[in-house]
Amino acid sequence: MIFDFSIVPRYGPALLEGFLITLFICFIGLLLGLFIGGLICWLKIRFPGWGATLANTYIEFFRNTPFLIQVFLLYYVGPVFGISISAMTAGILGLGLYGGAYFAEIYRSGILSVHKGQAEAARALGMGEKSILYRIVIPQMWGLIMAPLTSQIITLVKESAILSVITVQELTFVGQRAISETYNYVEIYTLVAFLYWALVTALANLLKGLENYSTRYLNVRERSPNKLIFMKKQDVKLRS
Amino acid sequence: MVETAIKTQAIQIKELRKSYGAQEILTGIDLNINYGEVVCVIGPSGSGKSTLLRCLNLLEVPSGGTISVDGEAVFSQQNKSDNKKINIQEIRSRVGMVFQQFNLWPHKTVLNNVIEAPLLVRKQEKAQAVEKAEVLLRKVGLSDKRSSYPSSLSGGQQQRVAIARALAMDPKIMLFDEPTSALDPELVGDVLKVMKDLASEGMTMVVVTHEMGFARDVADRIIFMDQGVIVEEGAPSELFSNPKSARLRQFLASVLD
Amino acid sequence: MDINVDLIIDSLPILLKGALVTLQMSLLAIVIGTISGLVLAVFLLSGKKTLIVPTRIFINLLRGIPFIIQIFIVYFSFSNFGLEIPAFTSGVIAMALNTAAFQADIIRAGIESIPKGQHEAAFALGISKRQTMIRILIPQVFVKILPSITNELITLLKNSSLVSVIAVVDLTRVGQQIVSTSYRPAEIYIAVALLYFLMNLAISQGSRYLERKAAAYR
Repeated sequence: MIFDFSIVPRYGPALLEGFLITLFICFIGLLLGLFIGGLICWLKIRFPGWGATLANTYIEFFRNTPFLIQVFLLYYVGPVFGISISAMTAGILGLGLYGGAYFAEIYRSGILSVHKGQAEAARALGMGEKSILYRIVIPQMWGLIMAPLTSQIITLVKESAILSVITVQELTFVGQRAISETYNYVEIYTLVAFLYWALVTALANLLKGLENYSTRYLNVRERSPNKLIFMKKQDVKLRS
Repeated sequence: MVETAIKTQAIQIKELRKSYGAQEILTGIDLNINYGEVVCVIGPSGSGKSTLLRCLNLLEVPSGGTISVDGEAVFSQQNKSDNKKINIQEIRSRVGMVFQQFNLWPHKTVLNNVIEAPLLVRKQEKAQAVEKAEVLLRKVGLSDKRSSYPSSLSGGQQQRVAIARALAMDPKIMLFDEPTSALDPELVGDVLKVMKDLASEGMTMVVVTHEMGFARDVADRIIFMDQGVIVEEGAPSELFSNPKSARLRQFLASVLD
Repeated sequence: MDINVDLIIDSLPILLKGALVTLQMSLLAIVIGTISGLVLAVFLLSGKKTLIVPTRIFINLLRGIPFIIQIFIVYFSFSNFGLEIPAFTSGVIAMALNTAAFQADIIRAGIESIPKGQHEAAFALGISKRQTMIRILIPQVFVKILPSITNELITLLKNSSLVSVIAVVDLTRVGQQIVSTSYRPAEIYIAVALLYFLMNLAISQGSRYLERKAAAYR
């Protein structure tokens, strides 16, 4: 089998365009997910009774059903109720709703793992619960959650490939269309896989840098060692 | 006018009780502390001394009894409805507390640890807060560390910053919860010196400690607690040289060896 | 709009058939994948560069590429070499490889966390290195990684929905087929989602039961 390099100039521009769309939907979907996650986490902590029940139902649903089915529900069920959204909108919304369920739990375990003496010291000085949360607890939470957050962000990027099934014109979709025209699947899947791999690897390194920055106040010895220990098992896994 | 009448004592505790479920930690504590007095609370671990201290600024909510601090009711069993009206944040801001584990905020520099509460709770101007913080850092001997993060300091330095952080609120009363227990022995001295200076300036202090030397030299009064009650109290000279109860004798024998 | 309950009830038998395929694939993949993961973990701990480097590259690639692409690659690779392999088998292989790559490091960490005294005690009794591995270490590691395996199984079950794209008639595919004839996506996809949810619920409950049992000797 010989790698047919003529594929690169022929389909390169189209693949690149798909890649940019992948970047775009992932970025917007991620922002949406981080926001929804915050909302769900807030609901769970602020209203321990009904809020936690609601939040848990949301979290359990999105974590225990396939992303593909969630996307089908968004894209195909809406029109039945007279709400029509484009594949792209359904895709971004899907990524946001799905990511939010995971981010909510990551935030929460981060907040809970900030040592309780931190809040106590602030309380003893007369600070209010709200300032304690925003000025003492949440800033430290970021440093603690960067590792599981990174895994989840990477998972989100990889899940975005599933959106090709509902015809979002992203990288995987463009790749499949090219294959249906040329049958050069070895070359095209290699290129597509490489682009995803490069994106994920770059993202992992970028986020590692962000983790180091967000824990710059800790000395080197304290910085990494048990960052994974405090997380609940579900939050640490790196998954596709 | 009534207020000035009550204000003769810094802390008044009556019949204070605290329990976790069925477990009673404090079983009826009566204690008055005057302004300017330094009181050291000693006793075996699990005797309830830290819980007593933490009840004074409501880090632990008592199960019964009454507490007033600096002339104001902090907790009252009789008038449960009053407890909701108590502005605990305001009272806490007048009572400084130093913890065994320092609890400095790791994401803030030494200076920012000290000025955080004055800015946020007292709404002070930044320049004013910084000026005050610099004075306090000089006082605890750490002027050169103002831009460092806590993780780069030794335990003793961190505890001195924690003291400066508490003093930045101009507290009337300082509570110390085993301030030297988490320190390496060679670092204890610097922290105790700062506390001694504070005592000689007339600060009202309640110190839970295992440092018998400090208690003997600095305290006006020693409280010995065991199993949730005050067993014995008195001047250090009297208490250490002539313990009345068997429990205190036993305790002193175990710690002074 | 009204919900057509009859449609859901009528479709249930064939949806359940699809669910059975989904379950079969996931269970096969978790068994093959965990064993392969163990092999990769042993490679990683072998101390031999010739084993570690290729293993790392393999793991890194599988973790960095979307699963749907991996399914296509496995599926097309077989047909490229002229092998007529059922889509079901391609799907199971892709799923097993994927979970193996994720489990390798979990298992490696599990093996490393067993105190050294455990090996030494076994060696001191004259038990061979291989016997030690099989009889002393692996059972302990298994208990440690049980929660991670559960997570992997849940992830596999969710990922298995993607094999519908290579025409395996799993739960998702069955759902799509019913939708294409009935034009009732709301009922069908909600039913499909609930079936996935219930299967995952059963898995996590079952694993909790196992964990409790395994915790007995700790």
